[in-house]
Amino acid sequence: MSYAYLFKYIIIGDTGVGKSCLLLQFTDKRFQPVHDLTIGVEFGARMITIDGKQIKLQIWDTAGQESFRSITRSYYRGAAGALLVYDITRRDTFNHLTTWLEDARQHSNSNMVIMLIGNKSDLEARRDVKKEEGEAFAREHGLIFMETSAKTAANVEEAFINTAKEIYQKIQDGVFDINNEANGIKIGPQHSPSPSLPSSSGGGAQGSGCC
Amino acid sequence: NFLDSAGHMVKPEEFRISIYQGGCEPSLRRVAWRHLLNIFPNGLSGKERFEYMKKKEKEYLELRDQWRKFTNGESMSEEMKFVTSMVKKDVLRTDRTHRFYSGSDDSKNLISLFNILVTYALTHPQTSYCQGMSDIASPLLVTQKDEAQAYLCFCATMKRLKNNFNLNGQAITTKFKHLSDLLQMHDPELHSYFQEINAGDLFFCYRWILLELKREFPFEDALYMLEVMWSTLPPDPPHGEIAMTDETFSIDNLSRSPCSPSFGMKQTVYAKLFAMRRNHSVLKSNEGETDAEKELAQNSVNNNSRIDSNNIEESCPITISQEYPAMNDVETQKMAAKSSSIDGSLKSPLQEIHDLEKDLHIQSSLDTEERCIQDQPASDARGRLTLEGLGDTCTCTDENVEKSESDNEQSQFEISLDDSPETKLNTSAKATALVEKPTHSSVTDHSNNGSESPDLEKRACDFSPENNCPKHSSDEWNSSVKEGKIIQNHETDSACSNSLCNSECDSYSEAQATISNSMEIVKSVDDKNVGLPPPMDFGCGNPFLMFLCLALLQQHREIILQKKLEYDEIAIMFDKLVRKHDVHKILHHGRLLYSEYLRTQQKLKESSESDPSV
Repeated sequence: MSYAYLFKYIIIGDTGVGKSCLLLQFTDKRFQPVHDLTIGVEFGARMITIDGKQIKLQIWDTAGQESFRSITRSYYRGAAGALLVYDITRRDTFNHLTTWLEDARQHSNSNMVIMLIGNKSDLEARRDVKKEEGEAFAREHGLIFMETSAKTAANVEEAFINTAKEIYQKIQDGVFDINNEANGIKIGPQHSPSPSLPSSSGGGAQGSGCC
Repeated sequence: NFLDSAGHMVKPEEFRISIYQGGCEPSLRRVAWRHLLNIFPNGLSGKERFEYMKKKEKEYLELRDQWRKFTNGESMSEEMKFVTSMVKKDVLRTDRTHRFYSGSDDSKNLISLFNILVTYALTHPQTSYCQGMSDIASPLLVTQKDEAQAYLCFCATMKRLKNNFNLNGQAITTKFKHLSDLLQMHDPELHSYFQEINAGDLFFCYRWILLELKREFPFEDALYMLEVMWSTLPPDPPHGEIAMTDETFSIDNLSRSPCSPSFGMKQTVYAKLFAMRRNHSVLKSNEGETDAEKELAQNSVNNNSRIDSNNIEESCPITISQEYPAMNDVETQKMAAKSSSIDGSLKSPLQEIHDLEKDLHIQSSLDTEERCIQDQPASDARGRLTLEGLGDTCTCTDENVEKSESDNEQSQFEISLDDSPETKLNTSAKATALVEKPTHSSVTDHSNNGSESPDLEKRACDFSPENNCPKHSSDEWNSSVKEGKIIQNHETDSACSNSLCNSECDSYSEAQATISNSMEIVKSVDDKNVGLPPPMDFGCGNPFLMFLCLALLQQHREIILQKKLEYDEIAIMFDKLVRKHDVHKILHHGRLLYSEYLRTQQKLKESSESDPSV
């Protein structure tokens, strides 16, 4: 399917915080309570529309297998966006955020947009991390923040789409070099459908005027 | 008979060949897997094995109860907290759709799986627990139906697989490299397409490699695939007894210290990960990255191979020499696809074999499980071996079929290859009933000239070597077969391979024709396999897995290439195929590729022996 841009996302965070469930809810609009534990990396993709442009989100959902992560140092490098997920019912998953963030920052491009997600917001009764704490952490580290529930789908669309909007804005602002695929952004085939229309490959840049 | 009258395993190679060719009757799995997974030291009688299992079970329960004493309340060490919480999370999402693990979160079988993994992690501080292990332990528990016995099987499996879980990722890196090389040799088009779309890393195969394809097939099919794969590994019985803990482990670790020595590193996985990445970036900034990595990978191969190299040549369990045209031209692709579909349609005859086996087993009124294997009827086992062996040697090449055109059934086979699977089943259904792979049927016909529609039972008897192979040819055959033989380096298995060969063809001339054909094929095949490492190195000692992965990739090559799938689309496709691959197709394809490889290896070995300068 044709798209104007492809954004590569990664989902990171402790095991069991609901990374795969968030992805499944976003791509398939369903929640699977019994889910195979992720081995290595699983992929998801979905088309969204921002500013009238078709954007394909290519999402890499990784597991906590250390042996896998050790061989995929390039994993962060090519990502335009990251969803950093913790579980609001488990404080340890919140406590590990700094490590995840440090790791992500060190290995990604500096412009990567990071969305902090406090997942399992449906389990209010078991809440262990206040929403304010999440907000404070995000503010301190310059992240966008949201609480979501992969189970009820609350805020799941928004989390993925707001991240994309932020990336899109950065493209408009000329922050991202869209010709460098290492930034996790690819110009889609519809921008250069044939050699006879070479000028249209600059369409993305031209489109920036409307924002 | 793989066991003698006292229950000693006397024919480990034949036992493995039999499983390689047709898997295991499910009711025999429990016992067969213990042998396949090398939990018994060499030379035990049936009675001794029983005693051994009792003893090991007791040891296991002691280890388990040792840590369980501490799991209540504050006495838990950091290590235990970490391990138990990780394992618990994963056990609750391992094969929960299988009836064995369905039910409530605290059902008995889930607790057994939990106990196995925690006991292993705490008694193997060097390895501890990593995600993926629950997938490996799960089928073992389902099959053994007993926690202690499953633990033994798990220890034996992990002995081979623990490197996969090393934080340094070397073993996995090496396997990826080997798979990529294999793909390049066998399917340059697909390989270069992957390069083109930046999918050369093949990371979507990670799960395949880490779990040895356990998740790619429906659960019961995965059991079959696993045993076939294990049967290609050399017998590796423990010296003394199977180790149930790390060398470094002492029981005091559990009862006394809050943390085992090596856990300091492991407890904060993320900190560790972080430190490791730092190291990598340092390496990289020093520009040593690639070389250093290569060296690491190289070392890991060597290390792995060192472990196995003593044993691998001894066993070389696969004495088949399967002929198959090169897979990368369209015509043969088609043919292979057809034969695969026939393979699938033969599933029910295969079931008949199993039923037959069952019947025959019932006849033997022996009570212990051990004896089930021991008393697997010789004629039946031989029958399967024979058929498969025959098929592997004599079929699958057009020339081969054409050369024996005088035989009526041969031409039927020829037709059936070009026709629908149904045609084939109609023309020679009976003849193929005993074989899993349809391409073997022509050989079935070879070896049973005249017996057009024997019933299954008779056929099973026919395949004892005495009935099947004219004695006069055996000597000539023995000398000639050397060339056709695959990898036979172990002194004792000359007998085994000879008997296989004896029953393979009923005339010397046919054997000759086969061999000369196979020689030609080998020449053309060599190009593809010639650069691959030897079996003890390839795939870090599990070359068959590499070929199964190649088969999985190739089964979907047309879709990938025609639709020009992108990286994520390929990965999503394979993720959606979890537990859905066709085990018969993949094993069939994998066996063909594997025997080609073994043949090349044998040729290389022979040529280097005859010319030491090479």
